[in-house]
Amino acid sequence: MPEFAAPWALVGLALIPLIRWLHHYRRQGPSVDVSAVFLWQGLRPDERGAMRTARPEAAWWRRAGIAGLVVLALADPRLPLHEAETVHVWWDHAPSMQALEQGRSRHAAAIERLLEAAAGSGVATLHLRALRGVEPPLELGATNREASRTLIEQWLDRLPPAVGGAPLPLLDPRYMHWLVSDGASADLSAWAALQPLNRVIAVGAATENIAITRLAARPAPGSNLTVAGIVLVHNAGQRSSPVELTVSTGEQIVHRVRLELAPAATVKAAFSVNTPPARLEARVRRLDGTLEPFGADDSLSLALASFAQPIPVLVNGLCPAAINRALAAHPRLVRATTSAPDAAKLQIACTDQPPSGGPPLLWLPRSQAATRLVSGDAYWLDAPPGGDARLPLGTPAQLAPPPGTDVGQAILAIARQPLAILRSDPRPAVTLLLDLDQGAFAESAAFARIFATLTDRLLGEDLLAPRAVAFRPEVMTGIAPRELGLSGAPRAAPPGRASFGFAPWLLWLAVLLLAWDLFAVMRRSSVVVTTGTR
Amino acid sequence: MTHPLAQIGGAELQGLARVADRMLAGSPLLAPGNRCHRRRAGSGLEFRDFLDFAPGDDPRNIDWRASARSSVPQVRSHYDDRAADWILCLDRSASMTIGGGRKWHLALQLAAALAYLLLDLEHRVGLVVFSGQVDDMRRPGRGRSAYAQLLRLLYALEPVSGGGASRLAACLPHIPPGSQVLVLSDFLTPDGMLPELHRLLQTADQVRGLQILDAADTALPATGPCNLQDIESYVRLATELDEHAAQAVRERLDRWRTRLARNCHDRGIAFTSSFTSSEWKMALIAHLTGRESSLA
Repeated sequence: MPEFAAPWALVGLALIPLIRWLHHYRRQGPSVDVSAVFLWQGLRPDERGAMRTARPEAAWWRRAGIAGLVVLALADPRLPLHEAETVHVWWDHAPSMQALEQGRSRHAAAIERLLEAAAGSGVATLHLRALRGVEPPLELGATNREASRTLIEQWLDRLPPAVGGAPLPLLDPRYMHWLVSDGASADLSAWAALQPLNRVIAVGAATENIAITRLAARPAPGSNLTVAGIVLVHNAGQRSSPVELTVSTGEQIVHRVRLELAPAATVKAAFSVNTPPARLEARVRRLDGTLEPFGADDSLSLALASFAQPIPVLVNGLCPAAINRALAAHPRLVRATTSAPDAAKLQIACTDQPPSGGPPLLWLPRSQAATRLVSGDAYWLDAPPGGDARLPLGTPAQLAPPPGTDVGQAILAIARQPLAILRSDPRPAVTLLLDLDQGAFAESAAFARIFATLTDRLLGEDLLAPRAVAFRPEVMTGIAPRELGLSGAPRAAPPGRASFGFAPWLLWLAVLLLAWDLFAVMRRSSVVVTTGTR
Repeated sequence: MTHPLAQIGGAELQGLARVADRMLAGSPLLAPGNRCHRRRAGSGLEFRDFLDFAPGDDPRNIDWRASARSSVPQVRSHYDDRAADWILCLDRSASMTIGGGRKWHLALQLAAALAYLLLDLEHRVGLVVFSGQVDDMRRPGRGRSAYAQLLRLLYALEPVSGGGASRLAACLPHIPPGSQVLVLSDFLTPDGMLPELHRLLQTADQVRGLQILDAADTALPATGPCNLQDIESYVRLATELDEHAAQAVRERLDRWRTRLARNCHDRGIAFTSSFTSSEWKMALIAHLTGRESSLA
């Protein structure tokens, strides 16, 4: 099929009726009023005598042909040398595409729709790409439909679950792009409206879905043997629905409750378990008998095997007694029974040089350099905005000078001097510049806070308030399709694509017709006109 | 330029009036001094004939002497004393302006002359001026005052310059039943207004048609390529013309006119054609005598 590089020029074809009108009403020759034109109509050949039969329509055809050819040439028609072309298919693999409708997933429906569209468009090659992520694309050539379906299904199985809010690609307007999606993702509509999409293959119709968005547990205050937990249940649909929530340990149900979920509402349910289990699972099911199209988010499990377990700490060098006291007082940290670095999850070194390897490190340099007494407030330099960055020392502390070789980011400072320096390479390490052998600062509450905070930073968790959380973003629970409109500016013709433009040929043809018309006009004006009627 | 109506002389009209009654009535008057045109039996005073008594006849009209001479009762019948109502339908459509307005001028003169003659015969005369619709009218009147009114109207009339149509049927609501109708027009429509004349005939007692033509109706308007435009319907015809084609059109008009006259005659419509080359008097006599004026 020929394509037009400038299809807007085809509007000029509207000139042809104008030419027709001009020929009909503005023919050459004077306009004469007669009392009864019916007397002059339809004279028979014998009545016309020797008059020459005029063919006024010939001029109209010639001039309409000239105008049509020029307009077509302006539209720049091109015939692709390759009959079909490559289309980039952006596949939305959001969780909602796994929703079941009429016995099959939206993915399966989309595969059928895509193959139908490709067959109907004469597309040679499909490049299937994940809408979110950088997974390798799937290239589909001229294979049969069954094979294409299998290849797409296998490719979809290899795709990791899409992460909600992951960036969407910017599409190259030089190529053809199709989008396969149910439009359930909230950010997709705005994206699609700006991208040069040529076609949207939309699937899905179901709108109702309920999901567990958070399951969290922590030791109950006052009892290390009791676990307190919460479950958040979200109704991503558009109708209210009664549901039953159950929390189980795998063997037995520890909590069961009936909840009434309003549209777009999130309900929190709290529970407690007397014996810390190895695993918790929350599950929700509808009680109104309606079908749940998307069951994958109806449950959420939480592993509690390492929940609130003691953390072994390796201590190197001759550390101050304050360190030993802090370790003994910490509810989660215990001294490692062996000196092997692999057995510990944290090491504390009180040496001249920091250890080169091992787990995350808290290093207290041992040097003979003079210390100086500081007091007042210290400040956490990387405190989050709005957080409490001030740390009153209360008791004056002996501040040691930083070692010359230590390069890192000061995270705690006092009187414009670093008090703690954080390094991330090769493993998290904090240098604590305090001489804990002098003065009473090691006995203060401020030191206990500094120690607890630094160990939390090094291990990446809140050691004093352990909790286990499994969550699912609410934005990933919506399955209601949204309209995805085209931007109206898809790519017209790929640059550099092999095609044959026959606009020059059309122009030459128009010139020939023009010459013919001029010749006819000149001939007509030069000969003796006899007579004629239509 | 003098108005065409000013060219009508009073002496000529009076001379025509003396012979017009015979021409219009078709039979002589029976009673001297009464010059009304009587054609129907009615409730007048002048005796017409004896008729056999029939149910519904007024017994007071039984003539006992005549009944005594006959085997059945005889009733007297009388001529209707009422004068006839004449309606002149004057076509002022745009086709009447072709040929420098000569057709229109002749139509005005004929209308005025006919009105004079009919009023002189003590008929009542009205005028309906039509084109695509009824443009003006005067109800039937009698005597000199009616003639003066008609003359004033005719003096004020101008033909339509372009567009419109010639729709005689528009006059129908203004034709009194039993009246006499005389249509002054060029009748230049494809059907020659024949259907409309026929409809008039269903209302009027008598319908007459006086066709006015001009040589310009068939004259060659131009030679070579030209656009012919119907002055009324604006239908255009792009054509190339020469004298041969014009001759063919003249012959076609003659055939068309002959066919129209024959169709009118078959329907009892007195129809004549006159060309503007004839004077109004000759055109009028030609119509009254039933002879057409020759082609100019």
